Amino acid sequence: MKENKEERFKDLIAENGDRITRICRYYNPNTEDQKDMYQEILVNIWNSLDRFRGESSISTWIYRIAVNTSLSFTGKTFRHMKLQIHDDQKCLTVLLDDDELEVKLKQEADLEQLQTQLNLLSVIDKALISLLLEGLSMREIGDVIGLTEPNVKVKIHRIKEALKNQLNGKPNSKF
Amino acid sequence: METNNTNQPSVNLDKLIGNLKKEDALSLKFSLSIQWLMWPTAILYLVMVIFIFDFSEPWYKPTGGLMVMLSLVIFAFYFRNRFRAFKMIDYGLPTTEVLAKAVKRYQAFQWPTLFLLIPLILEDIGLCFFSLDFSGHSDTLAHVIKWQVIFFVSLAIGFLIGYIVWWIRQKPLRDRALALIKEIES
Repeated sequence: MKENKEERFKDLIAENGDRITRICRYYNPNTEDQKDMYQEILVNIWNSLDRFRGESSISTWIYRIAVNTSLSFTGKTFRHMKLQIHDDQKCLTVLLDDDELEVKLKQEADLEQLQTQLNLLSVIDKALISLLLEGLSMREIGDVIGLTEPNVKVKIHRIKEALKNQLNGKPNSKF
Repeated sequence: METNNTNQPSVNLDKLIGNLKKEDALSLKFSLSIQWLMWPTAILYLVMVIFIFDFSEPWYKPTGGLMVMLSLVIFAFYFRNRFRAFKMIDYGLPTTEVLAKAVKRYQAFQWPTLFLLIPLILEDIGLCFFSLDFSGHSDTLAHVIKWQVIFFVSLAIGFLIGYIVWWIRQKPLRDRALALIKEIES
């Protein structure tokens, strides 16, 4: 049984290591904090592995552990947690879906401005955005956080509207 | 196996797994040691009381000892279960459920804690009996009263210390979980 657990654990990490790494990179600006969080997520995966009964997909389960660990990560107070967007993030346009918005910005200026605005989001909104950037569907995001799909859609829509207003220089009551 | 992927943090997976397995083994050992220590000790004490009991000794002496022993056994199992509850936090649940469980876990007062009144009362009566010497009614009454004052003052101090520790260490965690739940549900 112990050998099976070890093998399962290693297989899980081999298949999902990149996912976990990206989540760690979203929340930690430096490599040492990323490593600490990565290790903490691995520990929580190990401790929760015996209780996983396949009620959700493996990826959903891994995302849950990663997000829940990030929310309780002792290395940072949640208020100061920064959402890190990296140059290789290709799906940022999912956050800028208004055709009328002038989006002809240089990639570096776009990323910097977007990152600034993303860091003003609340912790839960940051968690939602990080999952959206991972390419999860609204239903999958709902499965991770524990919300209904319509609820997730409303929250994501509000976040996008807030981001759009901020990028347009309009005042936003959210902030 | 080491995750040397240049994009992944460098973590020695085999070493980590080794440490995790050691921790699992230690947790199990701690949990079992409570059982294996308390039950044989309690049975041994009971056997001693039955077979080695000196009938010239007043009845309340061994009775007091038994009650104290029983209260210690109950305390040991209670704290073992609390330890297990904290160790078995499942991060694989949806975030809202994890947070709800955290709020419950870090509550200052929980109804199951009332169960601790039983071993507390047993310990109070047991220690009172054990230290008693029926030399006279007025002396006995004074002794019982004095003992109750000492016991309840010690208990009150213990509760106060426990509450302060909760306020400093666990209340912030509970408050944070509550704030996150409120935000998710807004």
